[in-house]
Amino acid sequence: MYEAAAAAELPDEQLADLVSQGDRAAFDSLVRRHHRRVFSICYRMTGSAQEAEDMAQETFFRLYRHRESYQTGRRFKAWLDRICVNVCLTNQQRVRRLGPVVRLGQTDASSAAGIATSNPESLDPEARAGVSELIRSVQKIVTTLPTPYRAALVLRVFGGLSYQEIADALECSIGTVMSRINRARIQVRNHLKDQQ
Amino acid sequence: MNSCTPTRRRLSAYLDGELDPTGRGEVEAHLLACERCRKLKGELSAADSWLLSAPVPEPTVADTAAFLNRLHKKLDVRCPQPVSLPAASPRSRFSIALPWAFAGFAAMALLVVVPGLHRSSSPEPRMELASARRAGPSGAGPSAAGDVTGAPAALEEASGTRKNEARVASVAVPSPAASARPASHDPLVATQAQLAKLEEQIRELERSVVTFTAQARLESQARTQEFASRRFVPWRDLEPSR
Repeated sequence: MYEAAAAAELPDEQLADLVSQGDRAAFDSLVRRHHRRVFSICYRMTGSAQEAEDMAQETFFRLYRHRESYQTGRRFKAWLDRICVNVCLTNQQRVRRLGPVVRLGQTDASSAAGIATSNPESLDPEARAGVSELIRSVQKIVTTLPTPYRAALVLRVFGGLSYQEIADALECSIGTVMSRINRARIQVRNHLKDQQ
Repeated sequence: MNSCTPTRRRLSAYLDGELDPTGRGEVEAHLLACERCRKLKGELSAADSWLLSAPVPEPTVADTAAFLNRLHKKLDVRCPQPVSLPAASPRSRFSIALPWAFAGFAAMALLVVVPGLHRSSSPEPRMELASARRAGPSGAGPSAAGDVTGAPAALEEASGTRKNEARVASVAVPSPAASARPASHDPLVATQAQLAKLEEQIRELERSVVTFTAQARLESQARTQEFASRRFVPWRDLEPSR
């Protein structure tokens, strides 16, 4: 068994190998390392901070539950993002069927505005309102994109994945990824033109 | 097809640096010549920047710690630490299989031997038959001395419907000449001795079967208790992801 401090130094793939053997400490290290990114992808996919939190948790939960399916040598980030996108898509199907889950006592708009920036106190109320508005517009446009386009665009723009990694995550060809991202960007650009 | 179409299709890939040198060269050459495509490239770039300008809620270290805590609770409930069953050693497998194999063999032996034994181990008719046979040469019997075929009448009287036993007994009945031989060479005595030996062996087998069955039952109970004391992952959690 390795020391927890040493886990921080290990690359993702080695930690994933340890996780596949049931190592919870390695799993914790991976969660700490990727929580922010996974949350960001989930947030862009769902458009809701609450849902993003739930989806991020479900992503890491599934990762641990199916840890034995991790293939040694495979890029961990692509595997994680694939799980994450699948979780978000499954959630969308559920929301479409059953409607969104709303937690009592908390509205999503307030939570999104509240944690929109890492340092909200640095913004004056007017700037804060502007940021909230910007977040809403971006989320509105992103969530109106067709799901396959949105998944490809979010993984590229917010997840920072290469086209090959996106193709692996979405189980399609690079040509399809190229086409989806291009069409998604053109739709965003058309929305922006309409807004102006 | 419009001459701009190939470039427009690859514009995002160009912006993302995902084109090979040849494709990049082709797009750049077209952009130099086509103002509309240059404008589109600028707009797509701006759309990207606009998307990235909206801040994403960023979980703090405390948020991540709380997130991890909740995740651990969820994992403990729905995905408990797997319990690795100890691999059964060849010796333990053998120690379980052997008694059962032996018990099976013994049961088969009992099935084969016991019915035959019961058929031939009724002493009264046989003895009567034997005495009837011996009485034959002294004039009591209806047939000539040594005629083993003269037995049926006495046989019918002695054993009624047991024709098979009578046949065995009639074969075992010695001729008068044979009856003069010492008892140690008497085939009937020898057969009885063999039967006694077989009965002893069967009793021994029965004892072994009982012992091994009890032992196997105890081992089975112990393993069942050990199995029941473990926690297992619910079956639905074992489904592969889709």
